[in-house]
Amino acid sequence: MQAKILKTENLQAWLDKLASYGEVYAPVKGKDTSSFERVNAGVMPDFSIRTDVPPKGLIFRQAEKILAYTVGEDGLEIKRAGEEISNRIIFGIRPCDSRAFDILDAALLNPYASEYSYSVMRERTVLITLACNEPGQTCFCTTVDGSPAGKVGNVWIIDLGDRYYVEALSPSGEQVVMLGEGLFMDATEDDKLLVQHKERELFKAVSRFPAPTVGDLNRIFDDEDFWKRLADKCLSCGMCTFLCPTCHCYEIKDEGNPKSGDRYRIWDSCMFSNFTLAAGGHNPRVEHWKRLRQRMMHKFSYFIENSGVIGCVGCGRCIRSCPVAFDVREFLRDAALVCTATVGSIDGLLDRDRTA
Amino acid sequence: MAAITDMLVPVNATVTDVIGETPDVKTFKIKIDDGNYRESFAYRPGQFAELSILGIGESTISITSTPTRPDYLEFSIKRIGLVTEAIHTLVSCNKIALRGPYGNGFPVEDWKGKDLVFVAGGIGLAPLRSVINYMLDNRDDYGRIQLIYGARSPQDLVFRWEYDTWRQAKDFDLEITVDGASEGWMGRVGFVPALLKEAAPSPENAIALTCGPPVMIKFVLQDLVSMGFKSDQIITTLESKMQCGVGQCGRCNIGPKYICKDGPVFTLTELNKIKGDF
Repeated sequence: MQAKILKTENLQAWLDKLASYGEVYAPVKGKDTSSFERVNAGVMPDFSIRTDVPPKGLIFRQAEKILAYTVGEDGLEIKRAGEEISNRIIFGIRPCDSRAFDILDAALLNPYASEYSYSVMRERTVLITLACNEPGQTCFCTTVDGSPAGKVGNVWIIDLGDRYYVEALSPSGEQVVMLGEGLFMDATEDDKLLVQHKERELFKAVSRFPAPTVGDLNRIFDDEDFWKRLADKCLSCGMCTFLCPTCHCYEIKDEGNPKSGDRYRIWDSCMFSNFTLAAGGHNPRVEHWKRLRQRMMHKFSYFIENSGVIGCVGCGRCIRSCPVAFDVREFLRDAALVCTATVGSIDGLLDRDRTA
Repeated sequence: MAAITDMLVPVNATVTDVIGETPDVKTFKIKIDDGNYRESFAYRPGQFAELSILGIGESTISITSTPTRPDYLEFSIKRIGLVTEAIHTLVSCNKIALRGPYGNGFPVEDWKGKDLVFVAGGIGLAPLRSVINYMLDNRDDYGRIQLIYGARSPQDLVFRWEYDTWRQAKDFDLEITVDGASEGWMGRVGFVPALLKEAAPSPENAIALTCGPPVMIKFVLQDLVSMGFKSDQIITTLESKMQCGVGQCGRCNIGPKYICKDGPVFTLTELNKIKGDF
């Protein structure tokens, strides 16, 4: 499909038409926090904000009912949970959050086992990604292989001031663009050149710094002092994991009594001390520095080894939300520095193969 | 379309027999109710399942029966936490929920023609027993079998009712030790690694399997190496807090591996490559 141009004043009209496809979610500023909310009468989207809460939970829900059980005279009855899932659109999702779903796919839709409710929600959701014209102070997507203008999701749009440039990236993306037929014009060659120029400029606008490779992190894994220093102020509160668009660890929990109840799959956090506590008392990660090391290693080493991508999209929410100002960028800089104190220039560092 | 977290939904099964092994271990014979699921539950020695008492929770338990005896599944369970305590209250005809099998089993096919050395401690014999009985049911495929087993006390030895069968099997040596004797114990007293050294199994054309408490495994691995076993000839099965069983919930992640889906069976060669919190 040919790239399109949508006049700014027609954005609302397109949004209105998208409602015929399914539920539309967009960034909304709440009283205390901003998040992706269902857009309908009275709820105004605000595309200028980068939401405090990522839209992860719209597809990978915080609490997913797995089953209901009843124990009666005739024994045990297990009833699978099920509900109708309607089509949905996440409108104005930023490239980092959009890319986070690719990372979740690698974890939850692996060939060994597919998380079923996630796979259904994912299939039913169209992501309309809005390029970031102004990076935030804690943004570092370019350091973790992303870009504020990254073309990810099903539709990609960029604000050109008086108009949006709209590009469908998949068949479902084309379908939702077609819904706005009549509102769009074909993009001209000039539009395309302008967009290419903007893509380059936006990429440069997010500061990029050297990050450690898998090999680097494996080398400092046993450097206890490094990790203890890093975790010195960490409270293990788990805020970073709950606001992370790629964290996906979960717990399976029953709620009920011996006669009846439900079983849920709910978000959990590797920062909690009981996360790895086994019956009998064995716990491989009692110390909080080991848990922080686990989180960093998982995102910046293990995930790359297993899936070929970094398990972080550089959204910076963990930095903004941390009550003791732990800054993952400082970790990345320090780790790279410790490992490459004797090696080459910053440019050389930036271009290293991350799997090395 | 309905959202069903299919993978995590267990099925109904019935307890058909309960064997008291020790003061805190019972072996449960279980039969999956649904015929189709029962058929599809094809497992290898060394795999595990998730057993549920709904309302209490789920627990990761290794399968101690062998697929060569397909009429039932057996799980030997130590009462150690909330779920296992609830399971211990079950009697014949009671219901239990189950899903699986998960993890990688032992590569028993690759070991045809080899001698086998089993080194087990306490309830750690449960996953190895699956291999032992698998081999006894395919006796001609395997060479000499040596089982070195120990427990804290004579009362803590599991599968005592099966020792005679094993002792009478062809080319089968069973050596038993206890950490501390009780009255009437005529057998050996001492730790498993000491008995292993005394038994001095030959690494020639042999595979050594070990499972038990972490501290025992640690010494046994060292001792096997010093006896000349190569890292590829030494294989163990690891324990860890697990929930999903399929490499997603994150608990058993150690280095880039998930014990549930990449293990629980690992060769020493593989273990040596993993940096992580055990």
